[in-house]
Amino acid sequence: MRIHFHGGGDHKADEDKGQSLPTPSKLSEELRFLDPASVAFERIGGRLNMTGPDDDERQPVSLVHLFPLSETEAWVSVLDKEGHEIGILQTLKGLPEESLKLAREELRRRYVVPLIQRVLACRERHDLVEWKVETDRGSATFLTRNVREQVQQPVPDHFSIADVEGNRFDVPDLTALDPASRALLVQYL
Amino acid sequence: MPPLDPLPDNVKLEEPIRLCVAADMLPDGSFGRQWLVVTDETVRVYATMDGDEPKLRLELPLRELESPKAESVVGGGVLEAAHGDQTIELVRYTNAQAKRFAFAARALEKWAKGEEAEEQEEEEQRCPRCGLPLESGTRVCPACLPRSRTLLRLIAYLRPHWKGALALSSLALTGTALGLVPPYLSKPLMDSVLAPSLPRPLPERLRLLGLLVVALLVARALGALVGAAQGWLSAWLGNRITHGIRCQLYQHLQGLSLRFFDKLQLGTVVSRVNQDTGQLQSFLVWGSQDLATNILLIVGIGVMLFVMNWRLALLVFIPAPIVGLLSTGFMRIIRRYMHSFFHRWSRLNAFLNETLTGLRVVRAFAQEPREVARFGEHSGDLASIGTQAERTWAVMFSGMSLLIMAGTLLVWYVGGRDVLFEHMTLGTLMAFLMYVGMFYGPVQSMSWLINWSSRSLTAAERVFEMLDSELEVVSTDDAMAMPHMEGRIEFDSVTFGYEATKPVLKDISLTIEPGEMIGLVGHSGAGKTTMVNLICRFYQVDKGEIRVDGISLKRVRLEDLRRQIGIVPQDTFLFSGTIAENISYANASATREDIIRAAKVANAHDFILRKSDGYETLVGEGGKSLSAGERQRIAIARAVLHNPRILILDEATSQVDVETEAQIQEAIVRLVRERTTIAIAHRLSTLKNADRLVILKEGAVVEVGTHDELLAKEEGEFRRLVDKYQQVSRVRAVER
Repeated sequence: MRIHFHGGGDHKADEDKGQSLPTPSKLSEELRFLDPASVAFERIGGRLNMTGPDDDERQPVSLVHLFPLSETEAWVSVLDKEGHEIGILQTLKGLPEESLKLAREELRRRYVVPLIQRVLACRERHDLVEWKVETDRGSATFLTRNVREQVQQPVPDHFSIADVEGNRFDVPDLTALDPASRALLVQYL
Repeated sequence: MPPLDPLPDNVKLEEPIRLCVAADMLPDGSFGRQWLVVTDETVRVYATMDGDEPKLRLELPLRELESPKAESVVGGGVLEAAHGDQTIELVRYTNAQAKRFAFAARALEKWAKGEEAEEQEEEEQRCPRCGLPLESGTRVCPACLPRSRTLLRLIAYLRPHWKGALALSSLALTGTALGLVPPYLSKPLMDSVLAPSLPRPLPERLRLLGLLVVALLVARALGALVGAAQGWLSAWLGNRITHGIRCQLYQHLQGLSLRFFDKLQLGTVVSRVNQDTGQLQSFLVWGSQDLATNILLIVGIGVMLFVMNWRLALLVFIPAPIVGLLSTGFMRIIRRYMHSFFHRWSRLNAFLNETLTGLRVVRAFAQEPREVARFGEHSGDLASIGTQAERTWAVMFSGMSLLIMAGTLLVWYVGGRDVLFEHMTLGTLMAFLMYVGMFYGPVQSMSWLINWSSRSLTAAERVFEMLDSELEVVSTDDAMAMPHMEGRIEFDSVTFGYEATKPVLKDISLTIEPGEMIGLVGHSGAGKTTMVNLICRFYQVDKGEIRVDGISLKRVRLEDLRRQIGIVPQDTFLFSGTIAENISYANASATREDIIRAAKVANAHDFILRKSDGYETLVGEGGKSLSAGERQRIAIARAVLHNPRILILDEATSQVDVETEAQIQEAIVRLVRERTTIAIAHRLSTLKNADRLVILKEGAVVEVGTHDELLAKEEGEFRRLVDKYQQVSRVRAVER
């Protein structure tokens, strides 16, 4: 709801209260890079916590890929429990061993898009196409409808396929697939 | 009913199960199966970890769980809950299961507190018979379609035109019969005239020749005539039937409840009316004809072949199914190429559209070379698929022709031997070969004709599905006529939600006196537009009752209701037509004077007369050739002409200049005179003019009173809303 104060703003409340302007937002324009050697991750009570970089204060954090399609070990943003960014890890290399393991595990938990490694078959069933694939998370069968419209190519050679149930299957690099899989896939691109 | 998937095979539980949801992911994110099982006391998770036996992975007491949440992650979700000071991840799942686990989380939350869980709305996404997922917005499954039933229903549309249909069928039969004649005539031509086995006198042969040629001519001429008549008739018939179906569909659409349109996207509806009926039309006009003719030809020729030489006929029949199958496979491959081709073609179009529309941006950032390169890529993709498609077609087509040729040659050989050994006359062989030539064409066509009919029947079924959907708001026979309304509106414990499980209005009770002006105020989503929708009877209440002049809304005759309730909607929608047509939309027989009067009341007359076409100015699609302020005033004029007893005013929020704003305010004041008005107010002036304000918060009425009364309440909801937005507008003023 918006109230227009055109032609009739004689509100007493207007003048009397010495209203202060709203506080500036928490979004700063400064970019903050975190040095991987100066932070440590640990899991407490099921949640990921970070210690550092400045003090030894521990806080619950979450991790987000900034370039999830092209970079999996770099450009990771660390968010606090309200979802505001604390800083960016330009690369995960340099994190202490345990922390690196936990970071990778956490990211893997957050991004569950299966990556297609091989396309075994695709069969047309009426207006659907049934795909049998092998992914990095196991083998899967899914159905697509109007598949050509469901394929996106956000980054060269990287294809994202959405099935009828809203699941996503990605092909990270078309050129890296074996020829048979590629031939099957190309039919629908 | 909470979802009850079957338990894993090796798990037997004594206690009653409240919930069992199967997930398709293991804790480490790989594909696998897990089960969330909730009983009265415990929450258990079973998983198939390395190996095949589902094992109990997790067991927790139900009451000790706190704040269960279905968190979404990229590509799926996690159901987690707090236990003590630990956050425990219960189950992971892919997007497909997201809805069910969201429901599970809500249910768990209620059960952990000892309350009852809500009902789940079952969304039928899969065909109940074959399990294939359905397209959203339809229950028609192309795999399980009872085609015969659809066909029969389609044929029923022929009934009013049965004479034409009958004529068409007889023409088809005649045409086929006539087509079978010429090859048959070649037998006597050969045997009696040109190369008789027994000598015959020349004049006799000449006479026979003449006769046969004339007969051939007549047969062909008649055949052509019949063909033309067939085309004539079927064009008329096919178009008439489709026209009938289209109009029926549109009429039905106008009677459907708005709930139906909420569920379906507009694109789906338009596609149903246009594309599906269009597909139906092309099938009824051409497809059915071709199909019928083809079947008749195949049968007719088959019979002739069999009669003439059954052994040779078998030689022709046996490869026929193979040809059919190859055609089907061939067609499938070509179709795939064509789909890719069209897809890339439309991508190229989209690219062209986009970069030419954004030409300024391209130039400003000096990206012309890049866009040229990208265009080259798209065009190249298109060229490559086009080449592949055409090449495949050429190769396959030649291959197919060769195959058929081989078959014919076989007939030459075996038939020739028969002639040499005098089992068969030369004439018979000639006739036979001509029939064979006519045979494989229809066989090849059959495969794509069958495919076409199949798709057309699916389109027909989708159209019928729409025609069958129930009209929700229908005037009952015992509806009361109410030619003149006083305008008293009562809400009596009204509860309503667009989805049955999520009420938007909760137990609202309110009385509006005739002639009163009520301002509805609240956050977006508080229920203001919903209340208005219910008064207009666009939807039916779930619980409670709305009454007009003491009579339930459901029992008043719909036409009286519509005539006396008017609406000025928030997004002023105008139909493409003249200004005069739009103002007089409620009453096509309004006089010019009526229209001008209404425009004057709405402060619209002034700007209309300045336009070069005056009242006959075309407003453009949706009114786009007019400014926002002009559109608003025309919408007000429209309502003035309609002259309803009850007016719904949903104020537009678009900003206009100060002078136009003043005009609009004045127009509104005039409009609401002596009418019961319910205004969803945004303007301060409207709020001040209202007799009472009704403040809604999350679907319930929290305050009622005059503007001054409510503002005086220090901690009141209205006061809070006003203060908050004063702050925002002050910041805006500073920024300006």
